[in-house]
Amino acid sequence: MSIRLAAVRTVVGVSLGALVTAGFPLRVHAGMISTRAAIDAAAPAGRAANLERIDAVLARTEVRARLQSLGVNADDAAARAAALPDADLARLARSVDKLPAGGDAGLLELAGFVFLVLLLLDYLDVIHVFSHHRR
Amino acid sequence: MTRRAARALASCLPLLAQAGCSTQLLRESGAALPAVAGIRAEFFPQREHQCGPAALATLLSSTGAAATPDALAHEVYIPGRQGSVQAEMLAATRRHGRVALVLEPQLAALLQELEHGHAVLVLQNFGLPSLPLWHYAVLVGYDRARDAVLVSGAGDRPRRLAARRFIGTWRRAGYWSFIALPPGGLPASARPARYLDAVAALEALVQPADVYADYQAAVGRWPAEPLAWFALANNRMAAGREPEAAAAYREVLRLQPGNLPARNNLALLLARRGCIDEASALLAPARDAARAAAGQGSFAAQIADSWHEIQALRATGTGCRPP
Repeated sequence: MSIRLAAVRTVVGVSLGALVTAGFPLRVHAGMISTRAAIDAAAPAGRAANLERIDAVLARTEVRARLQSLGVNADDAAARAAALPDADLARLARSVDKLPAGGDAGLLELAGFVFLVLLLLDYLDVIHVFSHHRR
Repeated sequence: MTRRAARALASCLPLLAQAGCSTQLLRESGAALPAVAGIRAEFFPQREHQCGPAALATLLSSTGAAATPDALAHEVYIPGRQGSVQAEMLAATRRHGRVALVLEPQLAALLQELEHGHAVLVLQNFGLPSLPLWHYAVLVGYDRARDAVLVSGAGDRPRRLAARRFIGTWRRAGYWSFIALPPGGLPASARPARYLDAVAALEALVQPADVYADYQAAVGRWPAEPLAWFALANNRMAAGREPEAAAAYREVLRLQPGNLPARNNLALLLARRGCIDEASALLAPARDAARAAAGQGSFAAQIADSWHEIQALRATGTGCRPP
């Protein structure tokens, strides 16, 4: 009897276990594309995301000041960035990503800034420093 | 004083707020209100170095989540480094069921969140770029006339910190800040992709139902954003709500007929309910598009797999049970 009981318990246990796991497989539907994958796919190539990153840089006070000192209005620069073709925009966004996030007066960061501003101006067809980036 | 001692002294001790000066930094950065002072948060006295746990406890309390600095110290404090790492601050926020959203590196975004009643956890650097003295604090308001922000400190009340001083320390910390959002709470400043990214990071740790309100709020706020509908559809799918998931996938495709992930997922949903013809018709154009765009983000491999699965299901022929 106790052996049968144990067997019944095992069967019930296994079925319950199966039921419980069957309750959550919905979590990972085989073959379905996850939200994370869709976001990641949209982010690096997404035009809106690239523009967002460039706009964020252009909104920085020190970048605005630097552009201003070179005679470029930062709002104009943003509008020009928005007009860039996708591939150029993606390249520019990638370059922007490599820069230090803060941008203080540290020497390296300052060098980064000058580079960024030159890069922006180059991309926006104001000056041509990095001719290899285009064409 | 040794360098280490100096660091220990400065890293988590509140510095004296400087007197307000005549500049108008907050106004220039778009402060829309004369003052923000009503954000309710609990303030905790902090132990040496433990500004991370104390600031996080304050931030969480502002969203209605209770956690003490002592409890949080186990989650975010690293004794060896006498501090807390940014990624862990975000992870701990998620473990407490809150969406952790890193803000744009702009003062305007920060002010906007404060105006909407969201406390903002900020990283500050009171040292030099080469000799950083890191500090975490929580902004709970601002005073535009005095050009100052209200920041959590060691005592039980926020103190005033001149905007110029704050911006200087925040800039040297890479303009890093984040907010914590309770279920269904939307950011004031973020764009949809950034918000959905933050919700998806929380979704990975909790049950589907726990972030349902967030996605629901996202489609309410950005009804024309396909990614928001897609995230909501996947969330409903994970919760076993297939008819509602199908409706949300269809909304993605109404907004953006070429959306490959939505075509793929809806086709699989339909095929597994026996609706093979409709599934095939949905996936065929996606298959062509993915092949043509083969490369990163084209989902060509997944779509090919789905296609095979759907054709294999055709053989079983169970009949269509539309969602």
